Order: sequence, then C-alpha cells, then structure tokens
Amino acid sequence: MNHSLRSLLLLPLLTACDGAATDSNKSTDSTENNTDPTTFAADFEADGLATAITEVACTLSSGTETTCWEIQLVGAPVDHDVGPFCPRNISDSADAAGIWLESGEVYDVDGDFIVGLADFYSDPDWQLYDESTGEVYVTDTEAACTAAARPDVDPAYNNYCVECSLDYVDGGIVTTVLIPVAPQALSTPLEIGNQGQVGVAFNGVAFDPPAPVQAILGAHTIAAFDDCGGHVNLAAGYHYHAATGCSKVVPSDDGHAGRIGYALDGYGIYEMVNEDGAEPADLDECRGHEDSSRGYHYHVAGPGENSFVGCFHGDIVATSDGGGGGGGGEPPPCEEGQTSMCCGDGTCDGPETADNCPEDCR
Amino acid sequence: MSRGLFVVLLLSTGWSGNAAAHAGHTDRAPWEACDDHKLGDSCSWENDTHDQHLGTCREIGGDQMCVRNRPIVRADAAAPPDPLPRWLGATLATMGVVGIGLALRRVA
Repeated sequence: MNHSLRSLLLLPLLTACDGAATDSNKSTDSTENNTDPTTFAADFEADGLATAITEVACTLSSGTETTCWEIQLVGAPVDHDVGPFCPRNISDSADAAGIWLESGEVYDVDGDFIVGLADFYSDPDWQLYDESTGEVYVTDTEAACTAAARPDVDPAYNNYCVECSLDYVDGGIVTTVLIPVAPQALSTPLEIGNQGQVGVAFNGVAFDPPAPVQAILGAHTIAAFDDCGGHVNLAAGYHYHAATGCSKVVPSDDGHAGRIGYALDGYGIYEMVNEDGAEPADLDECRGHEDSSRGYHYHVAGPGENSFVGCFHGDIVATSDGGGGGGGGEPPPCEEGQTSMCCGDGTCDGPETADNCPEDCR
Repeated sequence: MSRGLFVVLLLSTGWSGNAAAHAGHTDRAPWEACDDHKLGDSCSWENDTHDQHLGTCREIGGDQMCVRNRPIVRADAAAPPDPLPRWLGATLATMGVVGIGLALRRVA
C-alpha cells in the first residue's frame, strides 16, 4: 500500500485516538490537589528519599507566600542500576554501553557508534579510540571526570567518551527540591532558563533540563547516558536527561499515560503517549494540557529529545538570584519560619556547600 | 472533468513519490531551529529521516531551543505515493490526450 493511501486510511483512526483519556474518563490521579502529605508521598519510593517529605513555607517567584513539599532526593535510582555509559573497546556491543541522544533520536553508544562518529557528525576530527588497539578513550578516573564533565572541557580530554562514577559523589548527591503543594497557574509560562532541575522522578533522581551541547561536541566529547537516560557529574550527581521508561510509573486507570514524576511547579509529568500509543495533539508550549481527571499536567518529550517539559505552566519557588528555582541553585538565607535548605539554619544539607553556605558547612 | 484529463493534470503537476535525498546528520537541530527567532515563536526541525518536529522556541540554559509540542510528523507517513512506472504514466498520459481530443470533438 502506498504511503498516502495508508495515511488516509489511518487518519480517522489517529484522530479518534487523540481523544483517548479525555474528560469523559474519570480517575483520581489529579496532581493539582495533592494536599495530603501521605497521599503525595505514597508515589515516591521511600528509599529514594533522604528524609520524609514535609510541608514547609515557601515563596514563589511571583512573591506569593505558600507552602511547598520539601523533597530530599538521594540522588541515585533505587529501582535500576546506574550505567554502563561508555564502551571500552570498539568491539563492544550495545549491552556494554549506554546511549546518546541527538536530534530526537536515541543511539546505542556501542563500538560501531564510536567508530562512526566522524561520519555521524560530518567532522573528521572525531577520533575517540586508539586505531591500533580499538581501545576507547574514556574518562575513567575522578580527575579525568572533573576535567571533562563540564561545559568548558579541558583540552587534554578532547576526543574522550566522558563518564563519571557515582562513587565520586559518595553514591549520590542529596538534592532538596521544593514544589508548591497547590500549583499556581501563571498567565504567561515561566521559562526553564538556568534551572538546575525541571522536576523529580519517584525513584530518588531529578529530571534535569537539556544542556546546549555545542561546547561539549566542539571538544569532540560525548557525555554518554546509561540506558535509563541518566549520567553523573560532580555537581549534580546522577540525574536524568531523558525518560526511557526505567523509573517508577504510577499507572492511570483510564487509558491515560502513567505519571512519572512532578515538575517544579507541582504539576504532574506523565509519559509521552497514552496507552493506545498516541501522543496528545493539543499540548501547549510547555508540553502540557488539561483534562477533568488530572487537571493541568505535562506529557514528557520523547527520549531522544533530551528534554522533559518545555517551560513551566505554574509558578516555582524563588531562588536567591531572583529567578524561579527548585533547590538546585544556591540556597537562600534563612527566612522566618524557614527551617531547612537555607543558609543559617545550622544544617548543611541538599545544595548547601562550604562555598555557598559557609556558616552551615564549615 | 474527464478521467483522462485528470490523469494528465496529475502528471503535469509533478506528482512524484521521490523523497528528498539523505542530508546527513542534523547536528543541534532543535537549537538551530530557533536561531533568529523570538521567544515563543513557532519553530520546526527535521531529523535525519526527515521526521518533522513542530513546536515553539523556549529559553533553556541561556539559549533557545525548539520544544516540540505536536506529535512527530513521520516522513514515511507524509511522503507522497510511489511514482507510477514510466510505461504506465506514458500510457495514461496518452489516454488522457486521446480523451481530451474525443471530448473536444464531442463539443465541436
């Protein structure tokens, strides 16, 4: 059957599918009114939390005083292994390596991929392996990781496959995230900008925004992801750049996609497609839409797109630099009533370090 | 319109199923799609296999990225039909011309 005819025949079916999981289907998984801490916390893997989820006072970027869930992620997945990332030899198969995300596609970083990088990027300067031995150049020490796993890659590590061990960050960096208990919709969406995270998974790991990869690729390095779409750097520890289906999914009972986490604005993040395999066709600029069962919610982008949501439909917690934030930036000074994740509370936790909170982290 | 004339018109409008040639890897396509665009502008980009990604430009990490918010338009779903075999096209074209001639004779 030719392509046009097949498309015409499928069109009514696809159009019908777009309406799946809509207002007529009722379920109880709305993420807009999760005000009960027990109910809210139930979705999270207990081992993925450094401490129990608590409700704390918080200030949103608009200045609104409200309450937030304080979520302390352990910074390591509790429901799947970490790695592998880079292959060690060009003879290695996909099982011995992770993935690379480029222009909407997911590629296995196997030996063939390493060999083909020059063609892949139409740049003959890619040479990530020793031609005589087939050994792949991998940042396999903490020093190498430190020098290479950053936007301004140390020139000594040009043409390396970059990976960092979770051991370098003692098994994970605890990240404190604050998200509003009651999401506050904005008339104009908030850009992701320089947020450290865009949301949280249920398994102890944060969803990070895409990083422009020009500098990384310019140094002829790839910071390979494991098959679950995550990798490690020394600043954030293990974090996701893609939803590949590894982390916990809270299923829906009406054919709608399952929930995989929450965005920083408190709205739920759901899988990209509904159970019928169709992606909603009415997503807004942030990749969200609304139905009567769930209220406003997001559908995550495809795994190859190196992103989760496009912007924030709702307000997020203010950071000390004036923008929104979820706890990934520098902690603010403690305000009245604020008991944690701030400089001056006597506790060194989450993003507090000797550099940004010397009074707490001597 | 006679069936023959319809076929002639189809052939003369360049109806062809040839897909564009492979254009190589589209490095940084989602970011480059928003070069010279304002925040919130519509944008689009194609991957290696010419699947279309439609979205809007959003600010992420100090740059703008085309964030897709429409289902991917697959190239294999959007491609026009395979071209007719040359001999069949020529035959149909001839039939069309003959048909037009007959129709004109009837009118006359």
